[in-house]
Amino acid sequence: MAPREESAGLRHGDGGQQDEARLSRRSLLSWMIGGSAGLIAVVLGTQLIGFAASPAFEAPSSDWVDLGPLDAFQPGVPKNVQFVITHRDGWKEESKAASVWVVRGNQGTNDVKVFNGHCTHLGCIYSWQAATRTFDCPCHGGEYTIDGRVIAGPPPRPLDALEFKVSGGRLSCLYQDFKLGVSQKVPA
Amino acid sequence: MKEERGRGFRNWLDQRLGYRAAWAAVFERSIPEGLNWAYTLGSATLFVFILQALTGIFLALYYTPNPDNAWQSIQFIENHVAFGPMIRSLHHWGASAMVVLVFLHMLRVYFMGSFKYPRELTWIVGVILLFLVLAMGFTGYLLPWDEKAYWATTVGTNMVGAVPFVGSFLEGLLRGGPSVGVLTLPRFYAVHMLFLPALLVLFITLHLVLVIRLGISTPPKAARQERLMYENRAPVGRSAAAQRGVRG
Repeated sequence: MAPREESAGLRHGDGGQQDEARLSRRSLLSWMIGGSAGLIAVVLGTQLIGFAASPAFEAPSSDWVDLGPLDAFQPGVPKNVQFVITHRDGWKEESKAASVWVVRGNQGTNDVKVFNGHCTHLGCIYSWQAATRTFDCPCHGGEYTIDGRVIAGPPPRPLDALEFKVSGGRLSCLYQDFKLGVSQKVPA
Repeated sequence: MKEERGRGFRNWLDQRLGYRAAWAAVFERSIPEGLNWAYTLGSATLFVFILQALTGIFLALYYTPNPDNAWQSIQFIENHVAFGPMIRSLHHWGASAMVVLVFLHMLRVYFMGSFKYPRELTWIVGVILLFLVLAMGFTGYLLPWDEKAYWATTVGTNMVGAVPFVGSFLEGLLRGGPSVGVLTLPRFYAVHMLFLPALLVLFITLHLVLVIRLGISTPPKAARQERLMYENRAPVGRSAAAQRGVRG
């Protein structure tokens, strides 16, 4: 019951003017309330949907690793690059240390080889021997040429060359580990 | 409310659902004269509750009630999820707003005498709701699983331990063990997410049914004026106010 409205003759308006007044006041208020509710619903709804859908828009994680400017690598002189790979799965982050050997040739900017730093035999860390110009693995005597070909020891396949790209003068590679001890190069 | 017979989907729906009558009962009911903004505190609380429910449901998409990951999952919400800081902040500040609003609402009801006949049950249900809201605040406080949360819960459950005779039992019941740890977090999470919301929805529904059924109490000042009017008009007949029966 609203005596105030009654006394103003607005509730049961019998004149056109009063009727109009009642309608406009009521409808103005309901538009304001409905508008505010709609605004809140839209703003909140958009954010809630975005919040829920967020992982679906996440770009798949890529393991391209920046190896620095290409000019830092001299032709014919293999160079070791160490880095940390971080793999993110939701709030879980796994980091591991990895390394590659970069070998540049004389045939321009695309004459590059990037080798996974693990020996293909059982995964030991091999290194470049400048005296013999070979990659030697200390564990079981595996030896590779500068191109990664096996010349001695038990390694079942050549060194694992990685995909690489040069953009803006910087070298990067797609780091990958491969199954050890087998003659085929199969991603691990 | 006049029943509308006719064609169209709305009429079809109304004839089966009676939603127009329900809408009118909730949104077009008579309210007494002399109300002010303090009488909107209950609705404000309901609004914030709905906001808390929505944001809480969505936060559950990412939050992980496991001591090893709880904190990290919140960092993930804060740093990696779209609108994450916004949704979490809404829930965080909404929790405080709930407590403030229910208290203000209670003060309004108390000082306007709205708890009197025939609204005692509404008041009692309201007090139950007050405790449920405080329990929500207490259980929700642990979930971020940071230092503040951990020690606040340690202190809070220590207080329960001070209850005579059954204190240590209650403390163990709350913690799920002798200290706040691995079992406490899922326990508080379940209570915060499932037990309490179920009870809250039940009692809020009851509270609203009572509010709609009994109507809003007339504020004391307006009631006094109505009484005066009635007394002046007494020889003529019963006024509309008197016919409505007891009001506050």
